[in-house]
Amino acid sequence: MQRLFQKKSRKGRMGLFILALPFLIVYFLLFARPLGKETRIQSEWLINLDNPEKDGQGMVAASDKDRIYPFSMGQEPGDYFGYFRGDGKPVLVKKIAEEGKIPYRVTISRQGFIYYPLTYSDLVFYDRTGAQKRIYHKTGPGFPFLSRDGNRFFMIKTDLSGLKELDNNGSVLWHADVPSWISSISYNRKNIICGSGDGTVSLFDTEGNLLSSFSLQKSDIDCIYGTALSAENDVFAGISGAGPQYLFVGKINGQEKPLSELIRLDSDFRREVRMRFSHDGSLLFFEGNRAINIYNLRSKRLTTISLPGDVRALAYADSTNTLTVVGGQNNVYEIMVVKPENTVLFKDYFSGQKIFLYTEDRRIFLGVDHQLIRLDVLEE
Amino acid sequence: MRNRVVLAVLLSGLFLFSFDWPVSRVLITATFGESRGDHFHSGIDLAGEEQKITPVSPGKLVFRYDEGSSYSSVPVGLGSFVVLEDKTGIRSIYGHIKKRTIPTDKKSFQKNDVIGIMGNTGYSIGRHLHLTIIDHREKTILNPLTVYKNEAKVIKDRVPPVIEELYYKNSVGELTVLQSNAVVDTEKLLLYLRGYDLMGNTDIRVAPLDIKVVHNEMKIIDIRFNALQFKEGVYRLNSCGKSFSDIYTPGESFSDLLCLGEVGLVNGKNTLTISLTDFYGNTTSREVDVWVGSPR
Repeated sequence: MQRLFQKKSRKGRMGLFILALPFLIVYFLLFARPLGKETRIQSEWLINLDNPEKDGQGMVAASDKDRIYPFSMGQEPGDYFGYFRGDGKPVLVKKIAEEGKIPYRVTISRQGFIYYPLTYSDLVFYDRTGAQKRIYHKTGPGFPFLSRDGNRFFMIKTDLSGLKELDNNGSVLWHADVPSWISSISYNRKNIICGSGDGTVSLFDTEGNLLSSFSLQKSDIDCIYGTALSAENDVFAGISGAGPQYLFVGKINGQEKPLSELIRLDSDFRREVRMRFSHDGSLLFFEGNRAINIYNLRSKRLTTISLPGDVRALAYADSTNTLTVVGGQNNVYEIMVVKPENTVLFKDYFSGQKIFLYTEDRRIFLGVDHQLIRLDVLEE
Repeated sequence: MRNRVVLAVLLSGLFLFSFDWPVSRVLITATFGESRGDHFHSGIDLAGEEQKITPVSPGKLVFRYDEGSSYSSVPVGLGSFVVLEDKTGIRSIYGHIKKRTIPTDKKSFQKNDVIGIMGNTGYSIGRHLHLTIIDHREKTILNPLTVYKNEAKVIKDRVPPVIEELYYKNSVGELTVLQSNAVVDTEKLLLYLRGYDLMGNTDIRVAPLDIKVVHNEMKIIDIRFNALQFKEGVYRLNSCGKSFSDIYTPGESFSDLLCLGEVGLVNGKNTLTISLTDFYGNTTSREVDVWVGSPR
C-alpha cells in the first residue's frame, strides 16, 4: 500500500508527494475516511505485483466458483497483466515482454488471454492460470481483441480497415471492411458500433450484417472520436467531428436513421475519447476538457465535473450507481468517486504511470504501475 | 468508365499542387497495392535511419494515436500514427512513428513542422514510415507515388519489373505453369502471374503500377494500382473494380502471386501478351501462345 505512493518520482511534483505520503498512508491503511454522514472509502488489500508471492499473499489456484478479475496495466514491455481474486489473492501475474526485439501485447478477458507478438503468427489462447488452452492457426495478419467477458473474439486488420469475428475454434463468423480507418469500437452481446476516420458510423449485428451506416458531416473535420454502446437496450453514442465537435446519441432499432440527439460540445479532441454507458443506457459518461461529462438520457441534462487533466480511466458500478474516474496529467492523478450526476463522494491524488481501473458493486480495483489495491465504498 | 474520368480529373487537379516527401532521405521499400494478407497495402513504406517526419502538405490535425501513451479501443497495427488534412481535402496518414515523438499540443502542421520521428511501432518488422494519401472529398485512397510530380528526381529506377512465371488453373483447380504453345482443355483460362517490380538497383520487391493482358491484340485486363475506393462494403481498385480477394490469396502477406482474371479463349491459337509497368515507365512483357484443341 505504502509503495503505491512511492512510485518513481516525477520532477517538480515529488516534493508534494513526499510531504503528503505519511498522511495518505494513514488515510488508506488505518482510517476509513468519513464522507458526509453516510459514505466512506476503505482500503481492503494491496497486491505487490513485483513480488506477488511475497508478503504472505501467495499465488492461488483459480476455480470456477471463485470470482476472478482480469487486469492489464498497459501494453509496453514491463507492464503487468493477469488475474486476481476479489479477496486479494493473485492468481496469475505476468509482464509484457519484448522477445528477440519483437514486442508483445495482450488481450485479456474473464476467461483467458491471448499473448501475441506484433508479427504474423499463430495465436495461443491461455486460461486464467496461464495454461495453454487453444492455438489458432492462420487467423490472418490482424491483431486479436477479446471482449471483457470472453464471449466475443475479434481480429482487427493491421491497417484498421476492417474487422472479423471468430468463434472459439478460430473459424471466421463474419468479416467487414469499413470506410477509412477504424477510430473507435464498442460492442455488447448483440451488436457492434464502429467509428471511422472519415466520420462514418457503422452498426453491425452478431452476424456482421450492416444495420445502419451514417455520418454527420457537420464539422470542419470529419472523424469519429469515440463510441459507446450500452449493454442493455442498444443505446449508442459517439463523438463526431472537430470544429465543432458533437455528441450523438441513438438507439439501434432497425431504422435507417437511428439518431435521436445531437449536442454541440466545447471540446476539440483529435484522439479517441473514453466513453461508456451505464448498463441500461440511461447514463453516458465521456471525457470533456479536463473533465468528466455525465449525460442523463432521461432528463437530457449534461453535467460536467472538473479534473486536473485528461481522463485516464473510468468505471461505473450499476448496483451502487457510482462512477469512478481517474484523471490528471504528468503522471499525477486524481481518483474521484461520484454519485451521478454531480455528488462527489471522494477524491484524492496519487502518482504513477500505468493505470488499471475496474469497479464492481462497492468494490473499486485500482492498479498503479506495480500495485493493485481494492477500495470499498461503504455506506453507513 | 465514369470512375476513371473522375480519377483523371482528380489526379490532374492534384498535380497542380506540390507535395513534399515526408522525410529527407527517401528509400521506398513497399508500394501501393501489395498484399498484406487480408488487405491491399494502402500506401507506400519509406525506410531508413531515424528521420524527422514532416507534412506532405500543411494541414490540420485530424487524428493522433501515440502507442503506449494514448487510449485506443482497438489494437492499432499502424502503431503511433498521425492523420492530417490539408486545405484541399487531401489527408495524409503517417504510421509506425516512434513512441512519444508526436507533439501533443499541435493541432495544425506547417511545411517544416515535425510530426514525429520515423519508428518501428505497431505491425512492423523494421523502422519505416507508412504513408497513405486519401482524397477525403472523393473518398479515394491514392497511390502516393501518383501525387509526387518530381519523384523521378529522387529515385532513379531504370530496372524493369520481373515476370517470374505465368500460371493457369487447370480443370481440376490446380495451379499449372503456362508454357508457350501450351494446349489447354478449357476456353475459360483463369490466369495467374508471379511477378514484381524491383525498386531501382536494390533487391527490394514491390508491386508494379500496372499489369495488362492483351489477347489476340485486344486489351482485356488492365489492373492499375493507382487508387482504391470503398464500394459495396469492400475496397476496390478504381482501375478495374477488383477487390483484394479477387487478386490475392487471402492469408498470404507479401505475396507476389496475382490472379489476373479470366481470359476467354477461342478454338485454336490464342496469343496472350502480359506486360508489367512500374511507376517510372519501365515495362516487361511476355508473350505466350495457348492452344485450345490440337495445335496445327
